[in-house]
Amino acid sequence: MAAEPQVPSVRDQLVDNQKIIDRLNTELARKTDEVRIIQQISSEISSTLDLDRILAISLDAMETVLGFRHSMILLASGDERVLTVAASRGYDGGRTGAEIPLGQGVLGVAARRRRVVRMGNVATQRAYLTGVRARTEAAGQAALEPTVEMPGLADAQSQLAIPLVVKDRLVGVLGVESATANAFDELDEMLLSIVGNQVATGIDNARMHLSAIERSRQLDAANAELSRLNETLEAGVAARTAELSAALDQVRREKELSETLLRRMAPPEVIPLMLQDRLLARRLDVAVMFTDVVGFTAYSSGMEPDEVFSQLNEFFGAAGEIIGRYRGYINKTNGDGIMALFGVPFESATYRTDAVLAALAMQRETGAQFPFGMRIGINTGTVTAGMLGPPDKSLYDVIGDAVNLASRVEALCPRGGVSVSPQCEDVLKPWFQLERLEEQEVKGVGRLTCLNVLGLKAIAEDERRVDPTSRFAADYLSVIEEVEAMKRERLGVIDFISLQARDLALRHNEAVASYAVALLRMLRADGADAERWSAVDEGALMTAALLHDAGKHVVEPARLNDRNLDGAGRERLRRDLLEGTLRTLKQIDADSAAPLIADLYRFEATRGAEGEFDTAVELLAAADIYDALTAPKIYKGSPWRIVGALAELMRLPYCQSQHRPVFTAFAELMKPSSAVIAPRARPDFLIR
Amino acid sequence: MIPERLVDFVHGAVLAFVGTRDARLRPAVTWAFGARVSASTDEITAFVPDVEIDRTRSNLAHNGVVAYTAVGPISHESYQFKGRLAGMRPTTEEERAVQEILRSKVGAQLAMFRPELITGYVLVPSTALTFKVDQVFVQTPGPGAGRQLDLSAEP
Amino acid sequence: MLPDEIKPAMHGTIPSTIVTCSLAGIPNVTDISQVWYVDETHVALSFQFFSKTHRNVRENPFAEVIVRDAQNFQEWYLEIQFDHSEESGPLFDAMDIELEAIASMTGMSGIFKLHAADVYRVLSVRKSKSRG
Repeated sequence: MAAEPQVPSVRDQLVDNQKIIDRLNTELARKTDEVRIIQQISSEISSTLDLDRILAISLDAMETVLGFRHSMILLASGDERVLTVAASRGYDGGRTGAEIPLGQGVLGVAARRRRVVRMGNVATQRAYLTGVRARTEAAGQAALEPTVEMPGLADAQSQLAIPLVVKDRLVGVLGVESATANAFDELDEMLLSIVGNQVATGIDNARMHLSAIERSRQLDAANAELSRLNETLEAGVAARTAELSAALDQVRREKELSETLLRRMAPPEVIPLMLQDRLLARRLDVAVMFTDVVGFTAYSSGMEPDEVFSQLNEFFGAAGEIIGRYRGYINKTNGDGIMALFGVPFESATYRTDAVLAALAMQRETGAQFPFGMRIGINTGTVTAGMLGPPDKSLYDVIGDAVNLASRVEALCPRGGVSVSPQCEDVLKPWFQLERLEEQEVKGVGRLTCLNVLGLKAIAEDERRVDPTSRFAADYLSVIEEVEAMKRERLGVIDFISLQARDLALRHNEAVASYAVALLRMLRADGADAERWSAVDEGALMTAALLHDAGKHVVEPARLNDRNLDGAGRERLRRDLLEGTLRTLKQIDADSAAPLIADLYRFEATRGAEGEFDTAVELLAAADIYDALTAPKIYKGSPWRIVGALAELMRLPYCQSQHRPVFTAFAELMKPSSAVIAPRARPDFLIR
Repeated sequence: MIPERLVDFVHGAVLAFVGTRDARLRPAVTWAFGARVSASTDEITAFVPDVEIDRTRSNLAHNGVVAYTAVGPISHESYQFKGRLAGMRPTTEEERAVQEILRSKVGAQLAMFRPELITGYVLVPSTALTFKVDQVFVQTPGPGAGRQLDLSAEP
Repeated sequence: MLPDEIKPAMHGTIPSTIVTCSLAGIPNVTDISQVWYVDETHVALSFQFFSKTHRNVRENPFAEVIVRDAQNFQEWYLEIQFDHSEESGPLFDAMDIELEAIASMTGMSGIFKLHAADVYRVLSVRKSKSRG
């Protein structure tokens, strides 16, 4: 007999599932919508500590997004012996409270063996085995266990169970099922596993949060009990009464203390981990800010202690609000100084500029409170973050050279200023006006040349946005002033800087307003088509430009700064921004700008490929797109050169269908004097 | 002697398969649809649709060894009959009628589940394959599966 | 060798049929609940209890199976050859976990157990003509 050819080990082929992975990648490319939605679900889950909410989000998503009609989440008991249904969807009357022992059915086995189980013919196999069982019983051959009712569909054919495991603990199991055979495939398995991971962590965190709440409740119960006891005692038993009163007070104080302590000890996001001693030290890239009130000791020497504290606490309150506005966290206060952190406990794309903007805002809004002003020093770098201190007094804290350096920078800062370390220069240069301070010899660091942040770079001085030889620079710089004035007078209620800080679109609204109005004036001045230009209301134009993305504050900064948005993601973002903006307009009574802004979004969704647009929309679109291209932002790489950006405007689909004088004129307005930007000329016929 | 209850079983609404093998001991299987049992001669005549009979036919030409298994589609009750080919010929009119009756009986049994399973099968032409039964085995899954029935002892 | 379109027939929704042959030349025909798709050239059967099928393939490795697609009732004939048996590993685990789930639901835990996964090489595949 001829030798059989060598066959690769089946085990290897199973482990190296390349074909499946390739196919899944292709299918996944088609299913990116689902994955994006899953990412959104994941972030929704991780944003809450409410267990019921997490369960609701997860199961709603099962149904509406992924199309699984019957789903349930079971939680494991502490000893991991029993699974209890915590939430369900698609079952008459719900199944909450039903229990199954670990190892029972597809759900129980998935949980016990901590493996995903996907079966497509459960009912068929059960029927088969039930027959075998009947015959086994009839033959009296073996002692059989009773059959068990599973909590789901009685006639389920397809079942997919995902065990929810965090570290090495079984949290529970997520299951979907269907009466149809083979209803779930590898892709469903993969998608559900991804959601399962998030749900597991979310539930785990929520349960720990619940245990913290439970402790508080226990204190409440003890409180109630003591109160009751107190009430039923006879008045004559004075000593006993006094004892109990003291105990009652003690309990009340402890309860308040534990609640405020929790809030004080760490950023809220890490509290659940902290309570379970599971917060590990981590290395993070952060911005560290130190502040100091100049001459506070002297200033407060004549004051009563409670007046001193009142002043300081007022300052801390205002500073705290500003720091929170820019997504920072006050780590500690030390006398009259604050130490704040940006970029903890989770990384953010904008933490460095957030720190600087917060510092500038603090100087602007609270600096005048003290006669000698404030110093603020900022450094960015890697620190180690975690719980620091003796066990009953530990705080969330950071250590590292970066922290010490920040403290030094603050000490060298001029009064009323905001100083940053030299390593911050490159990162901050695009947006801020920086001034070099005197070189200093600093103990433990060496020679140090810090930078003072004078403020945001003015649009007129930002050569990336405004070419100094352009017509705009020559004739229309005053428009910028007018825009600032209108902003202060009519829209003072909006903090534009903190809005723009979320995606580093600093001065964007002012720039768009300035360009649009300048363009309008130039078109009017140049004489042609006067009727068309006079129909546009300058004030309305300016208002719409300033408010066109006012809804940014309702969108997660992470989404705004996402470099990897695909077409569908960008559309969703645009839609959410528009919705948020329209709502904000209503809130500030600026509804009249809504139609123009909505049209602007419509233009930008297709780059004007669909339909005709009013002059006002064209003016805004030209300005908005131009600034988006030329201003430095996080979600793009380097900004475009001015000439390149203007040429890109000429290439808009809108400008291909017809000659568009607004866009051509805009190029004339902003281009360097020596450049030539011509609209794309299309020949009407080819000559061969 | 094939017990009467098995005769009734084979005549009932069952699905059946015929197993054969070639000179190199390579086995082949095909569907049979309908059968007639002659208890007195211990012979079973199985009606095998011609669409899938080629290998079975050539195997039987080489050696006449036959295995015939009948299965109740819902109950999974099952028996296997092993023996030797006695003859092969085309089915008669009457035998084709038996096949159609069987089709509707099995269809009715599966009506709760999948009647289409049965209605699509091409039964004509079929070959009547007669073999003499040497051994009978219980194939019903569960305890005792694979047990040989003692034909002399059964009533 | 095994095309993608055969996969639905290997989900076990409708039982499959297998014929084996002893060294003495006697064929054996029986139903089996599922033929597992391992890869394009391999399938597996679950070995739960000793049977004639089990004994036969260890003497004479050749077998033929009919698998049936529960959606369109297409039948496929596979000629296969017993290759080896696995008592552990990913294939075994995958089969075992399903068996355990079903057994636990029918009170047969411990009685209905997977002993091994028998792996077969696929020698040929063809669609049946039974449905015209």
